[in-house]
Amino acid sequence: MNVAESDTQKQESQSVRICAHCRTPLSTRDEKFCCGGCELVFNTIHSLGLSGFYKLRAGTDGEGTEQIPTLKSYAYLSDPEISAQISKELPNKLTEVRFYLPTIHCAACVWILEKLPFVLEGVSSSRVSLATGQIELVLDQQSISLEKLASFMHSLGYPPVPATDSLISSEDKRIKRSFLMRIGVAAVCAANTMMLSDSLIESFFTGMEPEFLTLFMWASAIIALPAVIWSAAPFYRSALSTLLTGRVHIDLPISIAIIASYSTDLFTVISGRGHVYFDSITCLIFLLLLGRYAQWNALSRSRASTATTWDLFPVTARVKVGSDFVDKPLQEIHAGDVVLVRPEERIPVDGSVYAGTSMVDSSLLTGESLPQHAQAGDAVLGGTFNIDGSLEIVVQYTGVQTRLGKVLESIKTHQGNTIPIEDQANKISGYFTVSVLGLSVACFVIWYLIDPIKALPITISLLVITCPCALGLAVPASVAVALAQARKVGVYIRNPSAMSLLPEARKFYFDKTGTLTTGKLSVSDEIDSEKYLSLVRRLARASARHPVSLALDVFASSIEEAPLGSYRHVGGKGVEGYTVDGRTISLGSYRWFIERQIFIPEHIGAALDRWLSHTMTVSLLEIDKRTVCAFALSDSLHPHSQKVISALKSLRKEILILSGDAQPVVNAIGHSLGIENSVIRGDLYPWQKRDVLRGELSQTVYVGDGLNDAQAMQAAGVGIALKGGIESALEAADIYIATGDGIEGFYRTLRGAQKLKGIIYRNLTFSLLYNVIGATLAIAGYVTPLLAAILMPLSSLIVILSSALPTYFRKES
Amino acid sequence: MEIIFLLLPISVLFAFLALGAYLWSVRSGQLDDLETPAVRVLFDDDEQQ
Repeated sequence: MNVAESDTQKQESQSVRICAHCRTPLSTRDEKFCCGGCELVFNTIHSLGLSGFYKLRAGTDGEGTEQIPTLKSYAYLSDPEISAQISKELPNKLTEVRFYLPTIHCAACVWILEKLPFVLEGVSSSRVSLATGQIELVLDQQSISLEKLASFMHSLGYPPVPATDSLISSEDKRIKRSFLMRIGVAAVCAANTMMLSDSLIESFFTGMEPEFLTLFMWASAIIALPAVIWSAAPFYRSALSTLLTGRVHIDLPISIAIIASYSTDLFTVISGRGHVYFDSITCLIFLLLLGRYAQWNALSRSRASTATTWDLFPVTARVKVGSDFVDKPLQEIHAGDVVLVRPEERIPVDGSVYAGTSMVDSSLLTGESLPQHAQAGDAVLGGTFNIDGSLEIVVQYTGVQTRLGKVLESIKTHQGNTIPIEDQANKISGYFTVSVLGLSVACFVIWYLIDPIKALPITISLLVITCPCALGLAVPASVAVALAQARKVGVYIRNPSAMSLLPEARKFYFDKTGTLTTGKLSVSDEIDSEKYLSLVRRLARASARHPVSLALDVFASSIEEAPLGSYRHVGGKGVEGYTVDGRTISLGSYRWFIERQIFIPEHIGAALDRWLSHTMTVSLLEIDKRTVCAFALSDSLHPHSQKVISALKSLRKEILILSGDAQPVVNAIGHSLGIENSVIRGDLYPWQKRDVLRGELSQTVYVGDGLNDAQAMQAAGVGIALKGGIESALEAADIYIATGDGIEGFYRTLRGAQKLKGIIYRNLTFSLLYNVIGATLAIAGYVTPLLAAILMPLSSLIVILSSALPTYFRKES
Repeated sequence: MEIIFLLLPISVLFAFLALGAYLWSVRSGQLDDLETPAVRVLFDDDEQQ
């Protein structure tokens, strides 16, 4: 039997089916896609003959893609000022442009995007870099506009973000190249000196004619030179610079070992007798550089920035000019202008509503889980999301003067204030350095008194074998592996010192919405609804944009929709229409029902009163102007929250909650998690959260999920962002968690940090032990080049294995 | 075995020539992206119809 066949058979008999494009689980049996977006992409891909995409994806590590984001306008790319910032003119009238693609993640993505020249007229080349998540395209702007190109990429599921200079780090490129060159030189020098020393070591046993001995010794000395002078230069530089500031860095004993060993070995070669350790020296340089590179590489990849202020503020807006609305760049819009914001768009300015009604989601700024009603006279803030109605807004502030703009600015200015890495590992290295230096001096003096000829060689062998190699790798090796493993599971550690601060922290502050809760509304109570669920479902699906509708749809998902005669969406209020037998029917907010004076039976009224006193959102259904049933919706606890909070408590951590949502709502959530009122604070604006944290000492951790937490994250000792809708929180967070399981991901990271700390200690203990044994052997005069050549790489290998083999971020059951 | 006086410098020279080629490739940016080329190997050569 064909294995593939039985697998598909198995899949069909399972009740869980997944979207053919994005592979998220489907709620009903007969659908093939989770949404219109996926269906569109699927058809687009097939119609272009690019179905190889799915074949390729099946063969590679299949992590589900995200759902297709709703289409947005790329019209701003047609503005010459903007396009000049992101593109480069090439000879023969072509343009080169770079985009950042946040949703790219696998081989199939690379394949389909590099096929663009074959499917789009005017695109002549396309090159993707998985490492940086960027695409470089060359196009002829006469045949295809940037706007069309961007829209097309979006339609394939890869919404492009213009890559301005801040995203392309030429500094990183320079550092990487520098590392690779130095490692290459060190490798060649090490390999060749090792070959020569192989012969030299043999010569101790079998003897060698003096002229060949001289040749090999001189050859080793010369070959080792580039490594010692050039490859190791970064060590000398950092040792010197930290020495000048009065601190002792681990690069100091490393530099001393290298320079002292090389010079005395050179002296030995000139004088013609004695042992030389050129191979150990070059091998030390090579291994240490490799460790540093691994650490730097892992760190810079974790830092890949998805910061996009472009995403938050639309770059253009529709301004009223005369009696029409005209698209204009944001810079040209001033206070007093009237802008039009359509449904599912972000509000571009701070202002007040002139006309129209809608629901506005301001969770970005306030963390409020419930959308608010907005109508003429109400104030709205830039960056918030307009859900379902059109609004005409009189502009008050734009750009950096909006509330959001100010928050973003404050994030930028605080960017550099990361805590310097004052690891205990460095402290230990400091003591180690001083001890080794002291010991070498003592060793030299003692041997000089006993047998002067041996004094120098023995001291040198002491320096070589206590090579800070194991010690120098103890931290970088484990940090590098931990960071890389973290990235693979979706934890992006932007600031490695956060990993050492995390296990030590005592106070853990949590945001509520989206962190402890799912951030989405779900039905928590209902009255009389059984008979009407099919109608409710039909009405809810008619206004699928609204969070309440989504929640009702999910609640009624096992019921077939009933047909309606007709329906009409009323922005900000609900859906109304006629049933198939001509009765009026509507589903919507309490306020709307009161406005229209719809009759509410007493038992439903009592339930409503009860729910409203708990600050839940309510939704009512009426038929023939009489309320027949009602629903209460609230933000529900994240499935893992209870478990994580209990686990933290058992670790004796202090748990506190800071939220922008109303105090009673936050208290309710806190209670269900066993947290007392005294440490719960609601109704907080982002800057107020920041102020609370500023008042604390440094051992705080703040876990949040959105931009409204960004300032708090910076103020805390460690700021952790769970994946939320807004990627800009990444800028402010020390650790960004996109594991897909919310707060559970945070707990795994905490455990990972503890494990890393344990491994670093293990490595340090081992290397100190090794050094004690090695030093003893050296002082006793037993260390020959052979022994040094074996022990040193062996100790490094053990440290590397000890760092690389463990799993740091295991999924706990 | 005196030939080693010739052979050794020559082999070292070759080693450094190879190193030179490596350094050139790093400087010209060929090793900037080590991840994507690994993935490109998976693509089939047949172009779509």
